[in-house]
Amino acid sequence: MKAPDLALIGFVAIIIIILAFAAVVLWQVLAGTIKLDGLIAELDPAKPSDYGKASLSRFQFLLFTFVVAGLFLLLSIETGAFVNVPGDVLGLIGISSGTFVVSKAVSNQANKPDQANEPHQRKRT
Amino acid sequence: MQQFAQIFGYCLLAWLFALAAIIALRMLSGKIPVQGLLTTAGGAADPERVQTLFVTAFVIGALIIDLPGSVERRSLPEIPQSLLLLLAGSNSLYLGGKIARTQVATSQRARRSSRRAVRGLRRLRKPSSDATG
Repeated sequence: MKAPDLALIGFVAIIIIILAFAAVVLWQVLAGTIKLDGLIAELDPAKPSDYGKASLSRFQFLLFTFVVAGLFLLLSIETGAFVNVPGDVLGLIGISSGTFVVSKAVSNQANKPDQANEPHQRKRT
Repeated sequence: MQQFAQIFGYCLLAWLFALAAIIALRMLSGKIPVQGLLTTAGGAADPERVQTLFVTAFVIGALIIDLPGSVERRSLPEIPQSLLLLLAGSNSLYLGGKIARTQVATSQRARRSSRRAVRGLRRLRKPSSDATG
């Protein structure tokens, strides 16, 4: 067996493995094993088992991720090679992810007093 | 090998679109909750959130409009600095509003719990004063 043939077989094997992983993830999402309920929502501090309000920073981060990833893939297929990622696009993702992190920190900070009060309430009952 | 790479790329793109479609459909059907995306915790419309959503849509539109030029440049669409500043300002405004509202809600909750504690203390004192009196 020649070296180029071996490389081709290896390449096809890697493609099949990655696509199998992708298919499994998609199947599990469709079947409901991988839950997406809390994708853009935050846990309700009053009922920690339920999802409360939807978070705009999560939604924005999700949108930018899909748009940038989709455009990167599309342009890479079109040009036949990896395309450059300008600093502006990285800045865009950075701003969005930074907002998401700060928003999450603010929400967690706001929910802290409730959790601190819980043991007292339990003791009283 | 080039053909295989292209097929792989199209498969990944299809996977990404399928995932996006599933998320969009679940959001439409209500399985992924979107309540409160544009409102405060109290249910009132939140102007900071509305403007952030508009700016986000605007930035995505700018990215997609520049798509034909980016094929020639072999690069992802370039975003003008002014647009990035607009997004940063918009997100800062959103965060500022969220922090301010959270502070108000937290202080109100603290006031309520301190009032409750004072009431509890008064209740505890009453029987003891009755016993001594």
